[in-house]
Amino acid sequence: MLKYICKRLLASIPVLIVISMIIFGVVKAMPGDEVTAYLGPGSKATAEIKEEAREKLGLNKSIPEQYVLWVGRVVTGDLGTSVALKKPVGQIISDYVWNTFLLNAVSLVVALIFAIPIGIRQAVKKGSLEDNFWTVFSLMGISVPTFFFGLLLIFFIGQNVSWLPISGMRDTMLASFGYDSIFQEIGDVAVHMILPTIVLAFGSFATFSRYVRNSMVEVINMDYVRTARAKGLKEKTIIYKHAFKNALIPLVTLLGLYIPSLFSGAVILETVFVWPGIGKILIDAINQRDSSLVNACLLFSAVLMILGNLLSDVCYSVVDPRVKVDG
Amino acid sequence: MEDNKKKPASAPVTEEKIESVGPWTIAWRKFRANRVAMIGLIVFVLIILAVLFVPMMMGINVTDYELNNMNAAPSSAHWLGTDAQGRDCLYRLFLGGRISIMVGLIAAILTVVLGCLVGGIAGYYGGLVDNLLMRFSEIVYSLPFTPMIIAIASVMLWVPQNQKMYTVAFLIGALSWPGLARLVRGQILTLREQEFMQACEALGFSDFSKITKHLLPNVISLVIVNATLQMASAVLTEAGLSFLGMGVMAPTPSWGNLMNLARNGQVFKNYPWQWLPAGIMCLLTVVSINLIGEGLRDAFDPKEIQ
Repeated sequence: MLKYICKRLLASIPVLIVISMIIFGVVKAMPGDEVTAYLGPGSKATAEIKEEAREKLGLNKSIPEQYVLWVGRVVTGDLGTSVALKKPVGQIISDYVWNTFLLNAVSLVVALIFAIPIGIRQAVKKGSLEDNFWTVFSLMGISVPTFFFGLLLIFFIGQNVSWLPISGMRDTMLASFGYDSIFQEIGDVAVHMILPTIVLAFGSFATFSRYVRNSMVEVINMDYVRTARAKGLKEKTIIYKHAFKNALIPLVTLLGLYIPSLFSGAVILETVFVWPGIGKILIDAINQRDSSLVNACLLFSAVLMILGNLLSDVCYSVVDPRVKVDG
Repeated sequence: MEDNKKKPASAPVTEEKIESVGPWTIAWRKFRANRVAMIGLIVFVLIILAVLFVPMMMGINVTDYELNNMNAAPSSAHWLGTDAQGRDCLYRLFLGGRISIMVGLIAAILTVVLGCLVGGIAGYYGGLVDNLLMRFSEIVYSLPFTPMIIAIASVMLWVPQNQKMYTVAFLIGALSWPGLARLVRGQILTLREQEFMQACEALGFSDFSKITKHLLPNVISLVIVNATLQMASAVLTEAGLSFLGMGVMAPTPSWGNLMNLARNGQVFKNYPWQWLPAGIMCLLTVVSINLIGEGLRDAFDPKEIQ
């Protein structure tokens, strides 16, 4: 297994190199001038200062040279400095990534708490009214644009419920004057999380409950489930112990794919709720042409993507002993 | 003349109705029996008809501005009110629908063409070609979808505004084919080993006829189902992009950029008729396409015999 993981990791290096080239190329091609972005809009810098800034940012070299320099810095852990936020990019990402992780992880847990039992019930009562209801419900979950659902929640609930904040992660007053206690801080963040969590959890719930349902439906018709019934086991034991364990396989694969994406942020949703996460800083960085930050964010997401694929394959072979990886 | 005379003689006289139903008929019957999928189909057809014909029947021009009647609430004259320029919101809602559905359609077609080409060629020829193509698709597959589309869309500013929709469709298609390519390749790999392909080999068919006549029909159901689901997700992606202001640009309406109006706090709070219907239409469309897609999947599934 270890050999397989190492092999896969090695194989993903060339993929990552090509992806980094694509990302670098795209960011280079973004309109606007990096020097202007660096000096700030409306600065009355002389041509000399501008030239100095160009030199400092390494913009006078050819594009391939700049790429090589950038890769060299990234490999040694230096992601550059954000020109808009005037902070090292590595620090910005490590600051914001936990906000994204918090929101996504809580949403995932909420989604799973509902999706697993509901998916199982659907499979057991396949074709019933209840099954159809949840099928339509989860279809809505994958069909609604996340930001529209977010807007609806803000419009119908957020505006009418005064204690429910509709944007941000902390109360501005409390955050700037400091919290009285850690519990107050937790409470404040939790309240801010309610609406975005509902939106995210709805989407994940839809995906997971469909998976659980479909794989349970398949498993329930297996011979060994019939055997379990013939042995006279309790229906609960059959469903939860015998059937569900095997129905878990596709779920675990999906989870493997999901875990890295917990860090990479829902770009549009974070923008709607002004949630200070990776997705929102990416959009801000693109709008401000903050190239080193855009580069870093995109690269970060790409690495997570590759890890997710690897992890889901590994999970698959760990959970299902029938699957053999060629090491 | 001779042919005409011969025909009745050669035709078998068995008039008993032994129906031989083809796979398409079976699929269609199963689809029709699936009530939920049929509802999806009907809703989708209604949306298409509305989007195509309602703007024509309303007798309004794109250039109709009522500057003395801005941000008006829904009334009998304007069923969905008017926007900040005094344009009829219902009219723009349906015009926007044309764009959104068009983007979804073009993106889905592009995904199917690219996915089938790459997956088909890789699976059929195998070896080095397979290796190279799959490496390439792995690269595209590993690009983070939404962030990448947003970044590339922000680069393509030089595209004239009225052609923005094609850029968006092209981007979505260009980044979403690898999933389908993998599926097609996997199918072709298993099909290639089956007896009927050996028979083709023995009969000395050309590559072209083997691919088009014998392999493609076997993957077509997979492709159709995928194309449908792909279209649904493309409509969603367009909406998201345009919502961020990086997709279809005003004055061209699309469901996404109509919802973009909600980012203005004033409009969001006080003039919901300007953005809410677009979201509902978008949701309805995507739900109906997804229903059709799932109905098709069940209809083509040989395991599900009713």
